[in-house]
Amino acid sequence: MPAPALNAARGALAQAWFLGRVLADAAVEPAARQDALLARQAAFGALATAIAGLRTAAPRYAAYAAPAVPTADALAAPADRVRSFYVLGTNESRAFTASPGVAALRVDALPGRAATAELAAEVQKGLGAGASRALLARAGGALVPQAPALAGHGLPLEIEADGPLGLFPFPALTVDGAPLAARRAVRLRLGLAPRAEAPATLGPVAVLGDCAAECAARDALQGAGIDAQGPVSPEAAAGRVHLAARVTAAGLRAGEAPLPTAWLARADGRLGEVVVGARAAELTPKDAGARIDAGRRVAAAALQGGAAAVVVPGLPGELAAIALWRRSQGHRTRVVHHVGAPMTVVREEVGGPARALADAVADWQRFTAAQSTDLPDGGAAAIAGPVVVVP
Amino acid sequence: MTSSSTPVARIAGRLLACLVLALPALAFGGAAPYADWIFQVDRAADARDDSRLIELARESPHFARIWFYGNIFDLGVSGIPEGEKARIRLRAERFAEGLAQTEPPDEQARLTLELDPEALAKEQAAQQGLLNLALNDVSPVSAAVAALGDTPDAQVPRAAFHALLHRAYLARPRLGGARDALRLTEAARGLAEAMALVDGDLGPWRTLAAWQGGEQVVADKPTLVEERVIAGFNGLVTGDAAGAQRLLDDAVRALSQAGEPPLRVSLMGLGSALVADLRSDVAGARGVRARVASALQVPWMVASLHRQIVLGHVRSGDADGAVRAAEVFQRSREGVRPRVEDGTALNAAVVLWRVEARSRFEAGRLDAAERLLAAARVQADWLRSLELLGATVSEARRPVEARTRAGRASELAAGFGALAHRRGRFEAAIEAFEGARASAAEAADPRLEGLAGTALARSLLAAGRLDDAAAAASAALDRLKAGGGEALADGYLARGEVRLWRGDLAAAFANANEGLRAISGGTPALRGALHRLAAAALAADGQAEAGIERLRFAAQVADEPATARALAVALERVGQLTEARAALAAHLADPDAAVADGCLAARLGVGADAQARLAPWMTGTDGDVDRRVRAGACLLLALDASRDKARVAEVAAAVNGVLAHADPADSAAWLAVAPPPTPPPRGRRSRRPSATGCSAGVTATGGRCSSATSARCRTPRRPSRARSIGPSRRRWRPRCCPSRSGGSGRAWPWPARRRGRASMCRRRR
Repeated sequence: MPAPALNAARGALAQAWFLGRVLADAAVEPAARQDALLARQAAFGALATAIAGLRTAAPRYAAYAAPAVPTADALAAPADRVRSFYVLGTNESRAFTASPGVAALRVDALPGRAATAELAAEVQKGLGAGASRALLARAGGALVPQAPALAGHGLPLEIEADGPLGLFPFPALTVDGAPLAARRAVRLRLGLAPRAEAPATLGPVAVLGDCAAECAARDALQGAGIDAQGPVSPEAAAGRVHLAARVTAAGLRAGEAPLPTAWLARADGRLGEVVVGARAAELTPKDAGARIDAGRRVAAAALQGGAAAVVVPGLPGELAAIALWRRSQGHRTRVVHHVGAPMTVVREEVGGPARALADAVADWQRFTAAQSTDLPDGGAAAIAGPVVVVP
Repeated sequence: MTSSSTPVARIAGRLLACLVLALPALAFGGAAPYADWIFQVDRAADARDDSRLIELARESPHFARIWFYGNIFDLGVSGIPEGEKARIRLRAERFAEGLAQTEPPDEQARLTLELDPEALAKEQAAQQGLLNLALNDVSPVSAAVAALGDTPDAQVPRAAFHALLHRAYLARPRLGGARDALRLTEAARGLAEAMALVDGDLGPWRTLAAWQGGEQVVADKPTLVEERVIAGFNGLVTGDAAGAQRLLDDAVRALSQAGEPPLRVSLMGLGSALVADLRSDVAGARGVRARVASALQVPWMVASLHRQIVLGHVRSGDADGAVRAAEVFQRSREGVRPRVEDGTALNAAVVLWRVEARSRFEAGRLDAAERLLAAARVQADWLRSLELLGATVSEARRPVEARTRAGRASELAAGFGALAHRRGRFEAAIEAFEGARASAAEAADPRLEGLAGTALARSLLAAGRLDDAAAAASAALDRLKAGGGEALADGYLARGEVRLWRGDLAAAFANANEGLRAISGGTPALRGALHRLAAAALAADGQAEAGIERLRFAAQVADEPATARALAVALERVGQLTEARAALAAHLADPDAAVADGCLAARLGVGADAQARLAPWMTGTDGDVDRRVRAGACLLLALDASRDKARVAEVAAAVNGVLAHADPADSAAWLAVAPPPTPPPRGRRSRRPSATGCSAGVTATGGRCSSATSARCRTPRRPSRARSIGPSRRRWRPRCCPSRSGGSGRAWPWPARRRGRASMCRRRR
């Protein structure tokens, strides 16, 4: 049952936080603080276990909190077409687009599952009755936001989606005043629902930045030789940096060039979205530890820099806190507050093991609120909002 | 003006009044206040006026005790008619009730009434032994004091003293009774003297004076020595410390020279303690009593002196001294029947320890607080024991007193719980608070039960048992509702905190407001905490602006660090960094506020401020690990890493040592900005200057090291032994080497390092 697991997660979170306060109390004797330190480590372990319990208890939660993110390999487009892959989420959906010759994925935000389904139904119904231009334009803007950016390509667009968008008549939608099909060939494929544990099979790192021309991070990227590997021209001209990089034992690398994580930390809100992952199968026992460590650094740096979201695969032995940052909810426009320097104060309010941890548990609540009709616990614990505590 | 108001008329009127008032006394052959009192008692008894009897005892406790102990033991004598016994018991009960209403209450009479006839007879036998020794001696005063060495406890002389005075009253009207009465009174004076010295209580002396009809004790033809003793004690009664000191000092010498019993001489040495008491010289009194106690061999006297030493520490607020004194007292009283005064003294000590422990706890002196609580618990357990309660508290008051002491035990257990909670030992805290709650229930004190329950809920929350915490908080609130006030508000706060952690935001918000309603005005700190709870619920609900407004209001109510930090957090979350710093400005003495301010300064690019706030946390060894890691991360942001590499290395060294134990969030923040760790040394090869196996400025190309300086590379002079090898010399020479002076201008160093470099280059080839 999810509820006990949720309680366990919350309990472990509370325990870790209160033990943190003990550690901060200068009056407490060193021996007692040492005990508290050890107890807190145990609490973090219990927290990770509880979160794992949550995921096991409700696979849909895993899909909700960390929906599948297609890898560049999975979406590797043949040279003759552009591929878009749709993932529907409860609050927000996404379209991942892979273009030939570009290692990075483009990610666009779409409305959540319910809103998407409603819009799709409206379009379907409208098409039979002579849909208005406005409706088609609205649907085009909402459901194929990637299309205008693909104007430079004359390549066919292959769309893979499921659910309400499965085999949806995308070609009829209006983009830039004309039906999508008028600009390019559109092929439809019926997609599969994302697997619950999909993030654990993530491949390369995808870093998507929204960096202006004067952005120091951009200079850093260029200095690191990212240009040769990274952004496609139209995106770069628009100030949007697409970047694909791999987590290796030596750190984050774009091609053969190292990508310094420090710039991620100093981006100070200019990063749009960061996804970090490593294919579990690629990890050999020899380098697993180093790569996990490098992954942590990247995740931490991205959060430090104000990234909107970080997804890290839940690899065995991974630091519990980082594992909990795998939150698809972070893909909303809301800025995940920094874990580094500003987190100092955030921590003060939220208490503890980190706001991200609290938010991860809150995700579960939102999930249960959204899914309360078909969950075993009836959504009894469904309350929105992160866990906070008064200092 | 009337004629009666002339001076002559006024004087005449006063003389007449004096004559009329003096007539009864003259009729009885002198002042006889006790006889007068008995007369009033008889009248009230004849009228069956119980309340008057009680009132008479309350107004004249000295006489009530004389009558009580002069008659009560007759209840254990088989030859006395039952009707007479019933009459005695009736009056004794009223007097005991009246004495229990005095200030301080005298419980001993009630306790004596609870004795069965056999015990009463035993008591009387003990008294009789004492009296026989005293009355058959040439000097009843000295004999009475000396006889105290054989009495088992303090109750015997106390009862005997009063019984003697009653017998003297009875003896006086008889033929030759005046002489008997004199002897009885002298023996009583000896006992009063001894009890005053041993117990530090001049009550018996005042009783004797009252019985004699004055404020001071008088004696018939006293010797020079006795005259000094009496004058000394009278000086104590009248507050003449200097005179009393001189007279009692003289008395010690005089008694010694007169060959008086050693016990009396020893006890007279305690006169200085009484004088010191009069002067409020607590330390002086303690010293005298400790000295005499070490020389005395009479257990109940030694115990009494140590009890007074405990009281002395309590009165001077010396909690630690009282701990040691209480331990000595407990050892000294082994085998001695407990006294009412024992309970009084130790109760006072327990109260002092509890108050002082709380004060030390709040000052962060946890070990010191724990020592006091531990001492208090030992005594409180003893005070709650049935043995002590039965011996020192009357049956009528026993249930109430048992509840009071259970309440005190509850407070002590809560003190232990608070200590354990603060030390992070939450399970121990839960156990302690559960004990506190149980004791509070035993005390039938809903407020205490509610307070213990509130604390229990907080410990359960900290232990991660949210459901249990919610149940405990609700139960506590039920208990607190009747009392209202701050305890109720704190109960709402605790329940709100638990609900907040459970994600029940609306309920938490409601609890905050209910708590605020429960205290109109109230402690600013508590109001601030309730506002913070409300603000946290609002913020968690996504109402950031409302949360900020609430925190601004809270800061007006209670401008304290916790509120300032919460406000700074909220402002930072909406991007108002400068305002966040302003919110913290008044609280930079608070460590977390200082670090937060430093981090905000780092983000705002105010490097000097950031370094000033953050650098202090990089030193020392016993600081908070999270705070250090956090401050280190922010400090690195503030430092210009490219220019200040030495400082960066210092910070890295300070943080890396504690990184493994820090909060993952703080660790992650640090890892994001920290310089890469230095690879661990692996033998001599670890000394290689770079990952390529070549020194700085030298690159690896095609498996070889090369540099601009390689052309100038000279093989260092080999040791003579190596040179003798001859043919291997060329092969040994490294293909890559930096300039002789190297990058740092130092000469290429030592043979071992050269060999390492050479082997690396060979391997790469």
